[in-house]
Amino acid sequence: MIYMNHAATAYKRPPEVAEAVMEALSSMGNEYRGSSAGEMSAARTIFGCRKRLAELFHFPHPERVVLTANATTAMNMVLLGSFSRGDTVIATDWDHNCVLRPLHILEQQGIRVLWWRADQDGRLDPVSLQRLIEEEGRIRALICTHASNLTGRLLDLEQVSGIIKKHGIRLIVDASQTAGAFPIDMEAAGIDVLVFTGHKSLMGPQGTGGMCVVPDLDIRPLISGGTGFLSYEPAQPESWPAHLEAGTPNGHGIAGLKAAVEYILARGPEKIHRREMELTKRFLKGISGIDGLGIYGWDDEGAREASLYGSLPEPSGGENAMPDAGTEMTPPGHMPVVALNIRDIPSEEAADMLAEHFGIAVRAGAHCAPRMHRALGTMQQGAVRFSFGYFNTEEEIDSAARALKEIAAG
Amino acid sequence: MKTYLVVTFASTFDAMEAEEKCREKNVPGRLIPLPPDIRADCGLAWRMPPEAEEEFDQAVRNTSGRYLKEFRY
Repeated sequence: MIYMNHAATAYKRPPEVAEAVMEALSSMGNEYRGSSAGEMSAARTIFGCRKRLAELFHFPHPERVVLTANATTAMNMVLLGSFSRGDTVIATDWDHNCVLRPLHILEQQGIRVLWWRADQDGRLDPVSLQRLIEEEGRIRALICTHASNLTGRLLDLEQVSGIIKKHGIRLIVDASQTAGAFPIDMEAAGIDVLVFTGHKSLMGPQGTGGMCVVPDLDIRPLISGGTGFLSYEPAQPESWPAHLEAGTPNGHGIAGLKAAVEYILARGPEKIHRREMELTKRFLKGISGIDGLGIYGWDDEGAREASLYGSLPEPSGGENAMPDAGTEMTPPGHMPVVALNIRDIPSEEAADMLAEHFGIAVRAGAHCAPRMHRALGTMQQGAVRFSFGYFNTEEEIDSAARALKEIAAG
Repeated sequence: MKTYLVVTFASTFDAMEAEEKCREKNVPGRLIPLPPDIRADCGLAWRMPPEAEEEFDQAVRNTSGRYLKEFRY
């Protein structure tokens, strides 16, 4: 199988990840449920994972790295634990259902949700965000994804932060599509909460994820229960991360996540992004000129070419150095995601042809991004989404381009 | 009866960070379950021989963790 559905989950992972999980399965006890070698192994591994994640995201408070089962769990905890009746928040058309559905619950509880809407090409215009804030008055938070899981287009978080921070608005970022594969600096970008999943661009196991929460922001626990200490206290401990972590953690998965983050730190997300965008460039070149192909979100003037290179510094060299990738880009840029349709062929049908006849795995349909499909006018047809990973090869990219040509030729 | 110095912490993160620093610096001692008659916000405590106190202080001096010490038998 040629796997090109990395926006849904990683497929090939660094071998260190599986090795760490296997090792943990045969040696790990339960974090804070004793001080034997097994329990301490769990505690040290999970502690180490928090520190590596904090390092990756340039977040100086590793004790505020909360580990959860996935980004959806973390986002539910943030949204349902931070706002009260009468609050107003802004969300975007790019957002995934992990944001949209908790917001739907909040709306039923009397929280007002305003929408930073995308245009018909799927762009979020900073001017419209500015206007929304000025028109609507006191707003508690902006919740936004770092990159659309449908078009791959990136949001310039520093620009967004510059707009909202002067109004005292918190920035809550869903980094499910970018964590590990694009540099994130929480301090520089003014991010108050960064939500991440472990199994996509971080290349860890499924069942891992979490959030980083700045110290001056409290979140009410959504889940409470055993922590291994203060057992006679009726309420969840106030100290972090236990404040938001109850029950046995996924220690085995977290061991794999720690190994994955160490793999990424050793190379740098800049290098990973460059590699993935080189593959994306090759794909876009390979499918250019195919009759009947419509591509979404790559139509900014100059964006297609510029975004392929990235505004990132060159790698420092050594055995992991990538070839010179060219000039700098103008933000916002893209992640390695290309959503398209072939004439009026239903996206599910096209994806099934790719799977059945060419052994290529992509994602069709709505991608849990209903508002984005509405903005793009693709609610009926959906879209065929190719999303590339660090371990894809040039040969796989060329096979995918040839497959699309064949399908489009009928 | 041997005397120990027991250090309690404000959070499990602080305890783990102190342990990491102590292991790096080979400070004698280890994390133990919090003795039941000591009250602290973390279920782990660092137990060490009293003479290791200065080494401990050196090891954790650049951490942000909060901790308390008391002598135990």
